[in-house]
Amino acid sequence: MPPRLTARRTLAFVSVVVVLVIAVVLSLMVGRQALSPVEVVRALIEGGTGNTVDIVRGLRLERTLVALAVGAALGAAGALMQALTRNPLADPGLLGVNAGAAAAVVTGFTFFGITSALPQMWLGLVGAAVASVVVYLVGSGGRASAGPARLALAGAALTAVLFSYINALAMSDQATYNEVRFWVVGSVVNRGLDTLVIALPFLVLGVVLALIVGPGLNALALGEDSSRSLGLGVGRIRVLTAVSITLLCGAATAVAGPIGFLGLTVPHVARAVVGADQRRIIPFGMLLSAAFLVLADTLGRVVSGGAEIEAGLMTAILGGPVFIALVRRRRMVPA
Amino acid sequence: MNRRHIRLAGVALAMGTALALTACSGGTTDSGTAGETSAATTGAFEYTDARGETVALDSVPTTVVAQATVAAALYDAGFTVAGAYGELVPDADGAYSYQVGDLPVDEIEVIGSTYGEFDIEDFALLEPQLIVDYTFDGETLWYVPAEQAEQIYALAPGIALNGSPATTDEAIESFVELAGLLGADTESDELAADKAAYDAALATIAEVASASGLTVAVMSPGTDSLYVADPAFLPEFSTLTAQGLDVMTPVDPDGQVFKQVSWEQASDYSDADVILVDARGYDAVADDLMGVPTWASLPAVQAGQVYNWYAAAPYSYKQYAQIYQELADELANASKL
Repeated sequence: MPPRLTARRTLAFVSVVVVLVIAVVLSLMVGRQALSPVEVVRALIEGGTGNTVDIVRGLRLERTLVALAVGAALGAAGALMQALTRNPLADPGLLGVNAGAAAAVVTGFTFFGITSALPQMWLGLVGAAVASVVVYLVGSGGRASAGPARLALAGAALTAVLFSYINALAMSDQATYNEVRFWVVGSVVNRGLDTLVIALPFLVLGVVLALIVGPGLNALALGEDSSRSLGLGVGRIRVLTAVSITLLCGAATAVAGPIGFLGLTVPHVARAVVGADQRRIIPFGMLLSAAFLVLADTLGRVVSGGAEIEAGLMTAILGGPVFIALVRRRRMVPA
Repeated sequence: MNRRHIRLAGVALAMGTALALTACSGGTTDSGTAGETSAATTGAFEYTDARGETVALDSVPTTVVAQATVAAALYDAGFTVAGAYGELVPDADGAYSYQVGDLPVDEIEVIGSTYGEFDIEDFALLEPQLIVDYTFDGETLWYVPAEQAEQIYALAPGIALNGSPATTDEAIESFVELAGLLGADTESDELAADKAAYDAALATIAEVASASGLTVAVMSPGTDSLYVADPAFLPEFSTLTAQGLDVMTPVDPDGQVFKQVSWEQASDYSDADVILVDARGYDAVADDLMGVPTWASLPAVQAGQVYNWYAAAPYSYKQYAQIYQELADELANASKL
């Protein structure tokens, strides 16, 4: 590898880490309640009680941690999904994972009155897993193997079915409608650290799997026949990738609700910066995505004169133009 | 044919119908009820509603359909509707929301049981003569779906009561007046007793408010944001403020009923000794809220002085006598923090 290219990539990784650190610092410093940096640092280090500590440790630190974890997960899941489907427009929700999580939570609420965050997160995880298994079974039915196009179609179909079901329940009464609103726009506010702690093992496992399948996905990008001739188990790579996406996306969605555009936009930027190697795209995408979500959430607190704007809305507002600019600027980078 | 002719024709028709009904009933009905009914149905009905629109009917309508909360307020004022639409989904125990008060849901026709639901066939089968609802925008009826409005008004004219009255007194009196026009006995002992209980509850609140000096904040807390209600836009809190209760106004009010604020700003309301929370959604979030540090640290929350605010309850002396009495008891037991 030419040394100049290596140096450029190292610089890219260093830069994204710096951006991430800046994002975290801003997230702790900036909010609706004006606090001086000294107050913030004191609250962080000394702890104790009082309004400043409630805000810094209770609200800002918690939402920063949630945004970091959710952002990283969605960045990795987006990169995996685009590599798996070899489609640069693939969204991590394409396997029906988000819809499955939402359908499970809304079902639990409507028929069993489950309203608190913790059991809802479990439901979300189970729903995500069931949905992706169904998609895989539908997509791999018949004679052909579960090709990327078939998986994407099965996922899109299941998503449509599940959202019709959710809408039907939402129309049935006011309380369910209110609950469903959360599943339209995701947020990282007050999701609860206990919720994040439960989601963490799933996220870690998903990341480990993502890093393991990286080299295999590189080979898959050469085409199914080429990778088979290289002696790689195509089916096994696909299954592991799908499991990783389900774990990452399911856990992230269960914690924060649907956060759009992150998994779609960030892998594009990552590919443009660090090249087409999944072994670099995945970690870079995680760091960039985490920074992006933390910044989006921080901006959402102060950008409007009125209420805070949810992180899920901010990523769409910020990510949309970035995505369009990328598409217009250059030929779509092949996944 | 001018209006006078139409009205005369209508009266003639009504009299004819009344005669026919009397002939058919064979004199077996309870004389008291029959007397009331005939007295109610002979005169013409004319009502200018909160939108300034006048509905003139040749006889007093007997088959009325109303939004469920409106129907509940009319019921307490002595008039029972034939059908209702609104929040009419019972909970797991079969109980209905406080928003429909004492409305005998099982004895009337349910036309729709949530927002946006209106069964126009059931409505038509009732042969309704009048439809009653709130208006919040001065133009449309609150729970009448816009896409069905034309068909609905072709079957029966609609009248709107003011959804944002100044005080509960004003709101309740507007319902009593309408019930009276619809033939209810608004001089009944029951209604007088309810009004006495209502006045007594307000008097108790006035006493407690001046003795304790409690400060109250009205909120609808969610995990994402805190919504602080502006008492100026809520008739019950205008009434309570007039009794001397100190109700907080949102910091930097924006002219909306609810000011949506970040949880970082919750401490702006730490002066509140009592927090009243929107009873429509509090139970669902109560547990999760305790995980929101700026909520859990509010003095009123720490002291356990968080009580229900029965938002959008039916405007009747009976319902508000209960609501104000419950609040009076809670305030009497709360302490200044």
